[in-house]
This record gives sequence, structure tokens and C-alpha cells, in this order.
Amino acid sequence: MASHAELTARAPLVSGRPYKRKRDFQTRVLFPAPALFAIFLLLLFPTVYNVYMSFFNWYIANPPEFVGLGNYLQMFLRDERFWGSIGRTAYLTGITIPAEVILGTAIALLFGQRVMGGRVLRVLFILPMVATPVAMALVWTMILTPTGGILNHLLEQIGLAPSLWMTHPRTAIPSIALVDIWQWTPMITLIVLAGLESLPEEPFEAALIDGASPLQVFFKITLPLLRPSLAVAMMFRTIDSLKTFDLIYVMTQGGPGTSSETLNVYVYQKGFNYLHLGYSSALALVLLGLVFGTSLVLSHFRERSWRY
Amino acid sequence: MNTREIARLCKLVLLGITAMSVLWCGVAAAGEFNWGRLKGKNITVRMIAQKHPWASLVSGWADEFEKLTGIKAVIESIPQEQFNQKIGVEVASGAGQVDVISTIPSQEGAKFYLGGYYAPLEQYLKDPTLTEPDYDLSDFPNPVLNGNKYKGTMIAVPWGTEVGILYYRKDLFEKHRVKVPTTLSELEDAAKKLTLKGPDGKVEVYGITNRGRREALGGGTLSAWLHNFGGDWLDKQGNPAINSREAVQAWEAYSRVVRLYGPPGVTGFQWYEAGSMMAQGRAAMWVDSGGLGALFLDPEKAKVVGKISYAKFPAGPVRDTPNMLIWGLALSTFSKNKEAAWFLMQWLTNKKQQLRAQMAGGSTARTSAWTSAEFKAADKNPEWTKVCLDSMKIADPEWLPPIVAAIEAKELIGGVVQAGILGENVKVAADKAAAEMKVLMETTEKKK
Amino acid sequence: MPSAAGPRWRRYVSRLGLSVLAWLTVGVFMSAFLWMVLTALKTQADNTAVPPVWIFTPTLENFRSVFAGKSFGRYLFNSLVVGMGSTILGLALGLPAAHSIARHRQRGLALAILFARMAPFMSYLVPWFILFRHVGLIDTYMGLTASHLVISVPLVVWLMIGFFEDIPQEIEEAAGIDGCSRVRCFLQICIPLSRNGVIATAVLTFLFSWNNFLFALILAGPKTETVPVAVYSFLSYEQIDWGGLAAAATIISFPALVFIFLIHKQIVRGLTFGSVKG
Repeated sequence: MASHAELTARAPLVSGRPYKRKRDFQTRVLFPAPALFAIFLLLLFPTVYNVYMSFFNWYIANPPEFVGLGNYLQMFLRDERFWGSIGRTAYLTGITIPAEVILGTAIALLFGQRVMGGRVLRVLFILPMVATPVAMALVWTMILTPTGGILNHLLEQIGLAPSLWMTHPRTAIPSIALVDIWQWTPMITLIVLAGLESLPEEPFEAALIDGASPLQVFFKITLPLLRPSLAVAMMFRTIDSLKTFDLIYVMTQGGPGTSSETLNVYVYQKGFNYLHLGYSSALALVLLGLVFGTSLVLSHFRERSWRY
Repeated sequence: MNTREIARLCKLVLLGITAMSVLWCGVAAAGEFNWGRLKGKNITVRMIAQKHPWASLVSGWADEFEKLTGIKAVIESIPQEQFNQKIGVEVASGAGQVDVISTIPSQEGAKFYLGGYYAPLEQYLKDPTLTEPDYDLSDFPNPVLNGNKYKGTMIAVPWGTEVGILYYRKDLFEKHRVKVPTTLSELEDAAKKLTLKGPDGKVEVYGITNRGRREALGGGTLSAWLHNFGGDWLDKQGNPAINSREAVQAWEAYSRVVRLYGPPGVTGFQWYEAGSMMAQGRAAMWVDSGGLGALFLDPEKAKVVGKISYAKFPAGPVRDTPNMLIWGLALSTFSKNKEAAWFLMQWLTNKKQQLRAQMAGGSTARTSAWTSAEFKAADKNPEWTKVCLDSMKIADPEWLPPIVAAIEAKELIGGVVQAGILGENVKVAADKAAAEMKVLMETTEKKK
Repeated sequence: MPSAAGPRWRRYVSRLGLSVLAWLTVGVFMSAFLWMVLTALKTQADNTAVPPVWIFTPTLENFRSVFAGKSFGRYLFNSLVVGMGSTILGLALGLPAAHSIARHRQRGLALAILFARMAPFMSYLVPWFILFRHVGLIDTYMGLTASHLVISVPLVVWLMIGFFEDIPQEIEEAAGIDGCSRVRCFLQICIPLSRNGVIATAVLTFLFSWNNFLFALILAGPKTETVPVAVYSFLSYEQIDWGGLAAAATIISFPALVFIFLIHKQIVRGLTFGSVKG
């Protein structure tokens, strides 16, 4: 396929002809306008509302009472559960993303070796990411049931110790991570595979001629060339991982205790379960800030600019 | 007849007519209650219920209600986890979509009544044109009525009771010659003795099964343990007492029994997982609500049909009060059809319908239903009936702290017991929870 | 990548070995689905047997009970309506936007729309609920579909930018000179030329709507409850019905299965396009 550079080089420059300018206006402004408007409407009003509500203490049984920055002070200075949820969010994302990237890349390399029936494999491999998360979370909950679940049974058969999975605080987040990794590794694999297939042949041939070992080829040639695709994939996955909800809600509801309660789930609990509305708005804004902050940081780390 | 006699006759007749018309007017003035009063107005009443066998049962009676009153009733069941959230957000936005709510007043009643959502019901109960003369509030035992009031105001009409009892495998108790426990320490002994291992050394039957999830623990027999050890939710000043010496003893006792003799993974159990263990024959005892007995009666679902027996919840060193949870129907203040909604509420909780529910295996709220001849004759499970009735006489309906943020408190306390089950220090967890509960109460109790 | 030198049979064996490894890996990932279907076909007794039963007589009872007890058919219908609505609207709004970004390299615009994709939706749900209430949009198809737009529009834009960039600019220029208005040119040339991309995007948008749980949890009501929320309430007041749960999960995952097998090539291309440079 022609590279973008070639295409734009061949395209005629935008001239000052009025007819062209009018047509450009149509496409430059009118085309994207509806989409922008819809998103603006759906996202901006609620943010403003959240900001407004976050200055009130509005517990459902009482009328709203203005507290200024009170909610934020409570959150940052006195709310242990809040800080815990931040830590747990970081923990969950911190184990899933590296695992998905490493595993996904490894599997992509495997698939790329002209495996027999490779096409069928790729099709099957898409399934985990498009299956309904809630349904699969329920299925995994059944698989991971400590007494009577199939996984513990299999572990015992091969002589390993069964685990308490979602029912113990220490293994709650790892259990959720397991399902998340199962679900999203295929995405990384597909992206890396596509990247691998579009890599130029020359560097590899040159390396072969020079007698480089497969490991050297991987680390010195493959990986650097894959960097851009991996970077984008990682960024999207990281942001999505911060927002994980379905899995946690279905598998543990944030439990046992609060051991798997990420910030996202805490916002839900405060807002929809305890009905502490003003406070949950404040939490929601902090979550928003966390996600945007992370995406800014991550896009700063990317070497090349966005494809946009 | 002569003139005088005719005159007398006329006077009598006139008197008679006057008397009758006075009587008739009197009756009309007293207001006749008529089920069909709202017929022809095409009203639909929407009821939301937390998932419960009773809710499933009565949703099948909607057609009958419509025939009687001309009011269409739509009854929707939603899982417990989502119930709080759905109603809560309805309250927040003042919509009038739901008319009747099947609720547990001791849990969410205060919150929703103070939030202006549950309507006080005295005006309906006292109005003879709106309430059938046979409704008879005194047919509900006092604790049941009180469980539907907030500081004296009736905020719901009762339909169900759930008293905590002990389910046990009578065959296992007989086989191993273990005495059915009547105290909590005997319970622990029995659990130890009835943890049965198979030939390969792995546990086949666990001594006891129970709830272990943080948000589920409160709904079980937790308050019975607390009260039986002499503890209370709040102290005399109204501060949290969940870390008092007695309370900590209760939490330690519960968590110890479950930790030592319960199945692994119990911290993930809601009541259905816990009951499932029992129904599959993997546990010898279960303490939980009496209303869940239907789990063990269906041979398609349970392997232990016929082997389950019932007993009163064991007494503690200080008290002997099983817990009791009371269900009721509340009316939404935002409802656009309050009268029609009230018709549905009282119909579902009147003597006739409560008896029907009782006959279908439910655990209803009316004395008449429990003690009626029809029920006694059709009772397939008289042992259960006796245990429930006896327990209800001495039960304590305060199964949650009597505060507005009862649900959050329930989870806090559940967290303490869960910590105990996981082997952590109960006193430390209880102190922390008490402190959190104090902060919670400060931000949520009305400052008046 | 060019293969290493060596005797042919050695290369064949190594390829065989790698293939086996690859198939094993995929097998491990597929095992969850396999277990799900097996459980759906077992009776309650078989499902709770310890140790687990591997050879059994299958039964369709679980699938029957899924449809019998609840109004599962209506939930499927609701999911379908919302999915299609959000896909059609998402395409209608997103395709022109993607085209504009591709043609005019409007980086800022792209970022703005893509930020929407990143937004944590939990942060918006309470305001949405309250606002939707005021406008009467709770428990309506329109309300639910509108909320899904916040996912579908950015998704469509993200996926289609690459496909649109692939269309050489001269074609559009030529059509323009021939007197075709921008809009007509867009509809009659760009879209057909990127047909594969549009199909893949439509399918993926539909799937993400179908899978959505959070929005339906809060914004839907009895009339519009979608399948993911309905299946969660399968944890009923009776025992845990493993067979029923598994059957419901199987039914829900069915569209994904079907679509994937039909249009996998385009989907892969679409998914990877947004992140791979040319």
C-alpha cells in the first residue's frame, strides 16, 4: 500500500479557488460537526454537573448541604479506602499490562512462524476479546470456584495446591487479572502480528547473512521495529484497564472486604450503593483526572507522533 | 280498620322508612369500601421487589387482582445487589415510575423515608373508604408491626418474616450420636465432630456452612450472635458498640466456627452458595433465615431431601434471641396512582392472600395465616412451622444498627467478621470499623 | 521473515513442533469456552458431581429453561435494537468525521474524539442518570442508544481513519472535477471503496454495544433491559444454576462467534489498522 507520505505528496495543494474552499469547508467542518456535537453534549454537561455536585454533601436521606472543598479534603486526608483503591487500581493494571504485552508478543511471534492452520488459529484467537465480558466473567467465576470448581480440581490432579481465587484478599486481584489477561492478550497478539507482517525483509536478511542468532535478531531488530505498534496498543490497553468494571463487579464486587476494589468500583459503590452522591461526584472527578493524566503521560513517552 | 289504626300503621311505616333510610345513610356515610372503586380508570400500578420466592409467587396473581379491581399490576423482581442502586437513583431524581416497593424497612426504610421516598401510611390505614374493614392490623404480631415503622410512623405494611434458625442433617447427627446444639458453644462442638473425612483424608462433609461475603454476612444470623453474647449495635449514648467486649466475642465465635469447620472459599459465599453446600450434602449444619427452607425440598435440586431437620437458633451465654428480618410493602411518594397502589399493597397483605402465600410454603407476617386450620391441615413441614413460630415469639427484629446508613454499616461489620474468618485480629478490625461507623454516622444522621 | 537454512526435514519438524505449540496455546485459551458449552449441556446433577463427570448424556434442558422462565427473548430483542441503533448512529456520525480527519489531517479533532474513548464512564453515570430522567429518557431505547454513542462514535472514527487514508486523494479530486458534490462523492465513492472497513467497523461497533453492561445496568429499565444485565440476575433466589448460567452465557456469546467467523479478515484488519503504520 502506498505510504501516507507518497499520497500527500501527490495530492494537489489547496488553492484559493472559492469553489474548492467551499467544498473544503463542507468536509472540514460540517462533516465532523455532528460527531463532535454529540460527544460534547454527552460528556461535557455531566462533567460540569459532577464538578458542581462535588461541592455538596448529599446523602440521600438528607437535603444537599454545601461543603466547598470538604469532600476533597475528606478524600485525600481521611479516606483510607480511597487511597487503598488507588493502590489496587495500580496493582491490577500493573500486573495485567506487562503480562498481556509479553505473552501477546510471544504468541504473535509463534503464530508468525508460518504455523500450520495459522489462519484458523487467528480466527479462534479473536474470540476472547469479543465475547461478552459479563458472560465470560460468570463462566470464569464458576471455573475458579474453590470448592467444586474445575480449575482447582485439575490443579489437584496434577499435584499443585488449589487456590482460594476470588475468595481470599491476597488472590482476589490476581484472579481478576487472570481473566483480564485471558481476555485481552489476543488483542496484543493480533496487533503485533499485523505489525510483524508489515516489517521490511531487508534487515532480517542482512542479519542472517551476518550470522546473528535468533535472540539477537529479536532484541535488536524485531523489537525496535515493533515499538510503534506496541506503544499504541499498550496505551489503549492501559487506559482501558484503569476502567475495568464488568469483571470486578461480577467476580468479586470489590471483595473480599475491599481487596479488589479499584477506584472505578469505589465510585460505583459510593454513588449507586450507598447513595452518597456529592462524595461520589468528587471521586468520579478524581478518576477522570487519573485516566486523563495517565494518557497524557503515556502519549508523552511515545517516540513517534500519533498516526492520528 | 278504623282511622286510628290506619294512622298508627302509617306512622309505623313512616318510622320504618325513616329508620331504614337513616341506617342506609349511615352506612353510606361511614363510607363503603369497594374493591372496584377504581375500575374503568385504566390504571397501572408498578411494583418493584427484591428477588424472593414470595415475589415470584404473587406476580402470578396479578390477573386476579386486575379482575377484582380493574387495576393492572406489574410486578418486577430484581436481584438484591441491584435493588438498592435502582431505588436509590430513583429517589435521587424524583421520578414516579415505581408505585410500590417490596422492602426491608429495617435496612433501607429510614434512609428512604427520611429522603422523602416512602410515604407514611397512617392516612390510608385509617380511611375506611380506602382500607377494607377486615384488614385488621392487630393480626400482625407487634414486633412485625414495629419492624415496619420508623420512630412510630408506619412506612410499610408487612408481608413476610424471616427468622434465623438452624438447619441440620438429622441422619448425620443420629449416625454419629451428636446432640443437636442448643447453645452456641455446643454448635461449635457439633461442627467439630461432624467434619467428616473420606477414606482419602479429604473432607467430605463440613461441620458447618455459612455466609462469608462482606455484604451478605449482615443479612444472615449475625445479629443473633451479637445479641446472644450480650452485645448491641449502639451503646446507650448512641455510639457504635460493635467493638465492645461482647461484640468482639460474638464476631470471634462466628468467624472461628466458620474458619475451622467451614468450607474453603466461604468468604465468597452468599446465602445461595452456603445453602447449596448443604443441599449437595457437603455440610452438616447451616444457620440462616428460615425462609430459605425450600432449598431442601426439591429432589431435582437437592440431594438431601428428607434428611434435613430444623431447630431454634442456639442460645448464647447471655441471651436467647434469634434474629428476625421483616419484609413489607412501601408506597412511593412520587407515585401518580397512590390510591391504586394502596389497593395493591393491602390486597397482597390481607388475610386471604397471606394465607395463600403461607400455604404455598412462604413465611408470612400474619398470625392468622400461621395458626389457621387450613394451614395446619396442609402443612407438609410441621417441624419447621413449630420452630419458626417458637422463634418468632422471642426474636429480636433489630438485625441491623438502627441508623440511616444501615447498609454501609452492615458492610463495615461484615468486613470485621470476614477478617476473622481469614484469620486476622478481630479486635483490631472491630475497632477500626467502629471508628469508620462513627464517621459514617456523623455525615449521614440528621443533624436536627 | 526468511527461514533459516538447514535440511528440509529439520525445517519441517521444527515447523511441526511450533504448530503443535501454537495449537496448544490456542487450545488453552479456548478451554474456557469449551467448558462453558459442556456445562450448559450437563444436568444439574452432573454439574455438581464431585469429581467432575466427563462422560455424560447431554441435555438441552438448560437452554430451554433460559428461554422458558424469564423473558429472555425480550432481552435479546432489546440488545438487538440498541446494538443496531448505536451502530447506525455511530456510523452516521463517525464516518464523516473520520473522513474529514483523514483528508485534512485534523490532529486536534482526532485527539478530541479519541479522548472520549478514554473517558471513564463511571464518572458520567450519575449525572447522566439524573439528566436523562429530567428529559424522560430512562428506560427508553433512545436514551440507551444515545449513551452508547460515547463508545461507538470514537470507535468508528478510530477504525475508519486508516481505511479512508487508503483511498488515493486523486480519485476524490477527479470526481470533484467531474461535478460531484463532496457529500455525494463521499457517499458514492469513499464508502464503497472502503466497504470492507465499514463492514468490519459496523460489526465491531455492534459487538461492543451488545457486550455493554454498565450503561444498561444504570440507564435501562424493565422495558429495555439488555442481555448482559439480564444474565447477571440469573443468580436467583434458588440454588446457583450452573447449567442455566452456562447456557445463558453461551447464548449471549453467540453473535460474537457468528460474526467473527464470517468477517474475521476485515475485523483483524480494522482492529490493527489504527495502530500500525503503513
